[in-house]
Amino acid sequence: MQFRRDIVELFSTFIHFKAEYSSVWVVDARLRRSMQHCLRNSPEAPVSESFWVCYWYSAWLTSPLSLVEQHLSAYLQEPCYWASQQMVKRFTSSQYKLPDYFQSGIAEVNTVLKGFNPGKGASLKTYAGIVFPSLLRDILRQRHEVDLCTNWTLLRKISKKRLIEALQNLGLAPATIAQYRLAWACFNEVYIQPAADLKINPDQHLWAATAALYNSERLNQLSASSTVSAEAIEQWLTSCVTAVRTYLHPPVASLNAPKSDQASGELQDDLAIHLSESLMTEMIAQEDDENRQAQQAQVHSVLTTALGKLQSESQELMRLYYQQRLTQQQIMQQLKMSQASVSRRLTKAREALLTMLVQWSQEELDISPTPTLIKDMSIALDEWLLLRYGESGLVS
Amino acid sequence: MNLAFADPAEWWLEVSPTAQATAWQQSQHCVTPRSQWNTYLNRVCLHAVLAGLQAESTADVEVASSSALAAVWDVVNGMAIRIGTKRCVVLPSEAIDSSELEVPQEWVDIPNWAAGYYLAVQVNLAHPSNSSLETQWLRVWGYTTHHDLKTIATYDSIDRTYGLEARSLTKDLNAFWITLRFCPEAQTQAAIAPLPELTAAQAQSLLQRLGNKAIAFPRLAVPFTLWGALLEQESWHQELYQRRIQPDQSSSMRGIVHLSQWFQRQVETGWMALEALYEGFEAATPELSFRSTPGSRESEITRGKLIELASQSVSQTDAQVMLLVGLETETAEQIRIVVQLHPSRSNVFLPANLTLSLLSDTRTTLQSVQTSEQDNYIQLRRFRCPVGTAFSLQILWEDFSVVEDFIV
Repeated sequence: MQFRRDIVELFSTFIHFKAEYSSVWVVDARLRRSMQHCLRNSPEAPVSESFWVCYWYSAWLTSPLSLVEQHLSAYLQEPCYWASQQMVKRFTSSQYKLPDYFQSGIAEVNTVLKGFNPGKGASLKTYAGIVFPSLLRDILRQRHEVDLCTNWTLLRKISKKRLIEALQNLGLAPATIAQYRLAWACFNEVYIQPAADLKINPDQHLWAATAALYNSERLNQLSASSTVSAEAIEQWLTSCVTAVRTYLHPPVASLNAPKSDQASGELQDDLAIHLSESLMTEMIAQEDDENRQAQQAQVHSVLTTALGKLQSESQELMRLYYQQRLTQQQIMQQLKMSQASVSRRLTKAREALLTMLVQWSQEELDISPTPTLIKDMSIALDEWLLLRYGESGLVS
Repeated sequence: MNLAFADPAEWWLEVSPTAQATAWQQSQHCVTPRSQWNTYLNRVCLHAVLAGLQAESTADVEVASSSALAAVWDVVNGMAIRIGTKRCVVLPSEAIDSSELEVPQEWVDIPNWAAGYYLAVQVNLAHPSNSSLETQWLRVWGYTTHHDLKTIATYDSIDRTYGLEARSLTKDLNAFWITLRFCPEAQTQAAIAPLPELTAAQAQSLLQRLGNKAIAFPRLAVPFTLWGALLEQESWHQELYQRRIQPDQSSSMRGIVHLSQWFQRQVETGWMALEALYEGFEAATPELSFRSTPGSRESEITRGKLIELASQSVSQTDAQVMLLVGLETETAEQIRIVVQLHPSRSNVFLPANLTLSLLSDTRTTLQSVQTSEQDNYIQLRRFRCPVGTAFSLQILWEDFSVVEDFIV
């Protein structure tokens, strides 16, 4: 895996997997043209990574067009790749391979962009390096649990939010979604976990009970609708199951395939981006701010000292988890400790580091801790963990 | 849940098979199968979170529900705990996608239910009657503040919940702990509008309507302001629960005790003379004293009722207590009342932290007294009542509460 250096490539190339562990950079012609166009039109702009990240990120904030998001998606290929590699290392027995993780991760670029806060120190790439691993872990955990669910238990264990998203994904009308949603709420009222556990599948009685509840609640919870039969309820909920399964397990689209040239005509419109000048100036100032960099270095030295103060056993646990990328279960087996104590000690060790960081800011910088400051410190800690144990190439 | 997915920024709490079995046993007495399952999940969660926090924290960690837990879990998901001085609401969910934190409106918009922080917990439990109970894990994966729920969460008017997307939660529980420690005074609650005060008649009509257990979603059946105002008053909430759990016993049957009739020796079932209550235990028979007006013994009468304290909560064995009510005619229009609570015959002391309260007809607490470690009885200050006055006595212990209604 080669790092990209060229500014045009950074924002217009994608990883393409030829085989499980072999990948190449592939150029998206449309993105390349767009990038070259921008460079030509802004001769005064610095040809630096930090400037163009700020440029595309503030463009995305003002007009989140797909072209803009794709530029950022191209830019975030590396952190996603490294996060996917971590997953492969940590979850050795999983059926998923590097390309599977990568594609699941890169599909979440929007989540990364929405969560990013440029005022908080970490750069977009570093932030992505922190967020992708946790997104991928969540995705894998969720898939693992989905695989253990029968159709009907799956309906009981899906959040309302995901259900609605899955139904929207099918392209259903809002009124239909509202009906399905109430049917689902009534079903959950009637089909209780014990029945689900005992592998009792919903029968005619259950559908009738669900329909009866639906019909009595529809006046209260739905504005206008007619009564439904038990058969209709069964059919609706079957559709919900299918929608949810498809939504949670999307067929792996080849997101990394080079984009076709067809849309070239839109280029002009796409570039009518109104940028927030002040935000960009602020971001660039932040990137180049020497004070900030000095403070970051201080934070890192505080944490390195703090790590040294932890008990050697805690240090070993941190190393096994963050560097060796073992799961807590594997650590438990390796160190012959109980699961609960591995989990507790790791949490305590991380908490001790965060505590020392907060105390340092209180004593040395004379900043009294606020909930917001503590959250920022939490990101600073993650950044340091990434640098200390992970891919140094991600921390700018 | 598989510990392989555990991250040090989350809390993973262990639930032993024994803990699951115990929680299931304690959740047997519920209104519907749905509320039973809800009670079970919440109970498991409460035990794990309390045990986990108590082991880690130097601060006191305790249940902080104003209403009895059984009554809460009958109609709403979640529970309030207090860590040190901070009130926190813990919200278990079975959703495997962890895509948002869903908070029932009750925990946000009822003033005495709202809290500073809200914790998202993922629970994955099997039915405890399965023979192969295994150790399970609860995953506390994020938190937010009341302020964020009021400002950035999405309110869903259909099911009356506030939903906050996962990415808007703080997913670092170390930060939660440190925030509690370093910023105990942080203002995390947004302003909320007070709920209207219900009149006794309004409350009774709501109770009559919602006390029917055939109503599957009582919390959605009336406008939130009315529902919230009903729950805000702990004793009404308790009465709602009592009605729902004993659907055959309507309030007229449950009966108001008519005290004036006691003087004509017309005493309601269950209220016994002390001699009968203490038969065979004469040495221990308590005496209710009205000595301030000597010579009026003719007009005095004392009756007692045995009350089972069926707490479903932490490691307490059930206990019995005797509620004694003594009356004395003061004038033709007014009587004096003394109320005492004694242990049952087999016990020397009352259970600790038990509260006996006198409530007005609108369920406002007029006075109350709480037991300490070794009290062999407690007593309310004597009070006078004109004939026709309605009042109630409430006994509150752990998550158990009972209300007896009287009219003079």
